Amino acid sequence: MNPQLSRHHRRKRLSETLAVVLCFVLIAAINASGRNPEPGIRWYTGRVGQVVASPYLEVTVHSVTLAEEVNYLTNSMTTEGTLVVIEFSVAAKKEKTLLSEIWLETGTGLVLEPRGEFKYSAGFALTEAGFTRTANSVFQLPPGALPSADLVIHADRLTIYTYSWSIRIHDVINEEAKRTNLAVLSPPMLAVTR
Amino acid sequence: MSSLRSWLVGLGVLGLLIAGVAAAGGFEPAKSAPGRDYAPGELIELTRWLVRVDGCEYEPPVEGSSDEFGRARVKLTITNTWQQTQWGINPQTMTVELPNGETFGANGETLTFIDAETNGDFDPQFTRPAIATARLKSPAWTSDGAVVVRLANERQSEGFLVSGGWIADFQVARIEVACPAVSGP
Repeated sequence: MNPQLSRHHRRKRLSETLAVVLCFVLIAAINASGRNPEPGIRWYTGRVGQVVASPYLEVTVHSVTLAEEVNYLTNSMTTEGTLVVIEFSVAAKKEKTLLSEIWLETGTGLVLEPRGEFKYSAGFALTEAGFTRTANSVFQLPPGALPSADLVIHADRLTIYTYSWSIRIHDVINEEAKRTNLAVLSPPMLAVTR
Repeated sequence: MSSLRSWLVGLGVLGLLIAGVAAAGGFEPAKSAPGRDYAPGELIELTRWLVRVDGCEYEPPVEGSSDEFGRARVKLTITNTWQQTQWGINPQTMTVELPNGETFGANGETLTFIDAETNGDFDPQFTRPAIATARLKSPAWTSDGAVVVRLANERQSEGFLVSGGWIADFQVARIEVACPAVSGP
């Protein structure tokens, strides 16, 4: 075989192998970035009583109540743990917003979703731009010492976007939280944002 | 020509390897282990749950109901041992086989799952009564029948490009429980 041709053949084979290896490196890199649990999330944070403003929403936690029993209309729930009632308002600023995920993250690593028994008292599902909705979410903590906890709200803008954003209200279970045996929820309110 | 031959040989070896894994049952882990037999009421430990299958009852169709052939209700006691609120046991990990030959849950018809007392989901560290309901698609059994409940464990997917979702792993438990008809009101 012509030695020059053979060298050319080897070089071609080497470049092909390198291309395949590079493809695998690229896939591994995409996979590594995909394992980030919160890729591209922009956080807006605050505390109870503060107005936390993102470009599309303003969230204010008005009060936090710790109770053994919660009533709303004909629905009632008691627990051997603690029910955390969070009253907060959401103002949609530019466009209608779907609050797709609301949860309570505790310092002990629990991620709690609002109790479905009171989903009609929450009423946060869809808020039109220019309106402020005030309602409650109820979470159930297991028995034992009360942990620290953050309220996390993730909103869907119902449009295509390249990054998402979330609101975190720190330390909602603090010394100012009201303690009671029975908490009675108020119906949700919708008002034009002032 | 030799390059083409080496590619074909390589692809052939790869094909044989895949066929070998498939023949060994590697692509269906949930079916590859029968799991242990448990008695009704016995505690079963799954990745994200502690489960007891307490019993089963068959509800005949009620006049005016959309369930033409009635429904089977499997009663369970479950504890969410995971750190997140869960809506129920993953239907891909639970199978209910009825005496009339119908299968619900994994690889079968829809199996609905609810807390037996509330409308809520299952919070971490709470033990709750639960009901898995199978709406029959064909006539129910006539003699006393037993329902077979199969439970598989779960694991988090570690796929090459997609990861994090919960998928069925090996079947770990088989429970046979009587399912008598409930008498009418």
